[in-house]
Amino acid sequence: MMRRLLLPLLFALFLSPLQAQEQGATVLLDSLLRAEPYIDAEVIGKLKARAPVTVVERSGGWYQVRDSRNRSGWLRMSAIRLGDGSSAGGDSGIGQTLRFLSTGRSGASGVTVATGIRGLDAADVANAIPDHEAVRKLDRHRTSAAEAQRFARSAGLRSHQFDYLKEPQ
Amino acid sequence: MRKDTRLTIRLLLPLSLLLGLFSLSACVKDLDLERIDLGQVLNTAQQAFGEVDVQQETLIGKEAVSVLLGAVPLLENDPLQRYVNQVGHWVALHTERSDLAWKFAVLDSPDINAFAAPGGYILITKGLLLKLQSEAELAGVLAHETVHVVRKHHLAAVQQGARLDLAVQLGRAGVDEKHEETMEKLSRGFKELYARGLDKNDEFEADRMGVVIAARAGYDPYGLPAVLQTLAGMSPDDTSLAFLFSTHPAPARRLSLLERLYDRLDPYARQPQLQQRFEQQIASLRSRS
Repeated sequence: MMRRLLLPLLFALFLSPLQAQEQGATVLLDSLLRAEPYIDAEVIGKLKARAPVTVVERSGGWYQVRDSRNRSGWLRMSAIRLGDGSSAGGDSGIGQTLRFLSTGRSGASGVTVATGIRGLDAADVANAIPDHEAVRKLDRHRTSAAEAQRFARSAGLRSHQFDYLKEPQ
Repeated sequence: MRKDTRLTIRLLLPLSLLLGLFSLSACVKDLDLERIDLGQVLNTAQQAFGEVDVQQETLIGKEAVSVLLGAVPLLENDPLQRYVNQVGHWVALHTERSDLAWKFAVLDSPDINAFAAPGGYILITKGLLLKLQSEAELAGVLAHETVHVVRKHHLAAVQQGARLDLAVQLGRAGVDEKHEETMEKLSRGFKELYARGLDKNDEFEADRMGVVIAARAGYDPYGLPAVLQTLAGMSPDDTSLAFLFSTHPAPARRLSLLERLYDRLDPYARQPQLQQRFEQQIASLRSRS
């Protein structure tokens, strides 16, 4: 009896981080589903705009997804928005902006009207008593450049030259 | 566009100072235009909006970050604080201000947010860390924040936003920690700024430069877009996003601008995401929340 309860529990504990990465998403535009995360990979299906998919994993600018017919393939990251589509709002994001504005939490003042359980908000910052002691504590965890370099090398990170990109027109 | 605004302000300020003198002198008979010391007026405005040296910037940053730390405590988790400093410092080494005394910290708040302050201070909340899935995503967020420091977005905003007296005081007398009035004005300026948020174009610029900085540091540059996707996928009514959403453009809008650059990021797309190292580092945080 114990074992029958324990096993699923253990599964839930260890697998939950992986499962948490599976997330609902919505296709933004009619898109081609590809067998691999490459622009010239084989096309294995078509997905209509607004179709719901499940994101399984990400590789660079591609998401591996599963569609409602349980087909699995890769879509460009820009072809979908995570979420149920209510906030997808097309490529301009106007839908989300409108919805966001209608919640009354944005606006020129930028001051949050808090309801329910309140986290950090504008009022907390506006009423903060500056804590200089906490600022001094930040020195405790500072790293040297040499340490940061060792840390990066240990994971195989390598520096590259890459010029900043111009603002898209 | 942003440059234009700044230029306009640079030009308008001396002008408004002059106008002020004019209106003052309107009460004075026999106004002698040549007597107005144009040079001095221009000088003061120039100093007020000119470059602040690193030492002064750090003092300003200390005051700014003390406001944030007055609102949210630091997370008591030394290994995690150290890890975020290592990732952050490595990322910051790939900016034009690699030699700054960069300091990173995790805030003990379930809210989803990250902040930067002049002089190289970067803060990220526990709530945001818990939403991330890889070191590349963390690097993307921290890279975005380093841009605010590198491009001095907060300095420019606080100088523009605050009344002229603060700007002139900073320029003329310099920032003196012992000068309570100046420091008080500074923290008031930063309270307003953090409550209001930066200009949306500063945020777009930080996104655009952030993905490049992450790629330079050897990470998969799609980390930041992936974080924005996560945020776009959350309910806009989620209270942990309220402050972030009231101070930043909508994630979908930020994504739509970044998406136009994806082709340029692709040569770096196969760089490491480092999911495992990230998960190991924040495991203690995940189990506690």
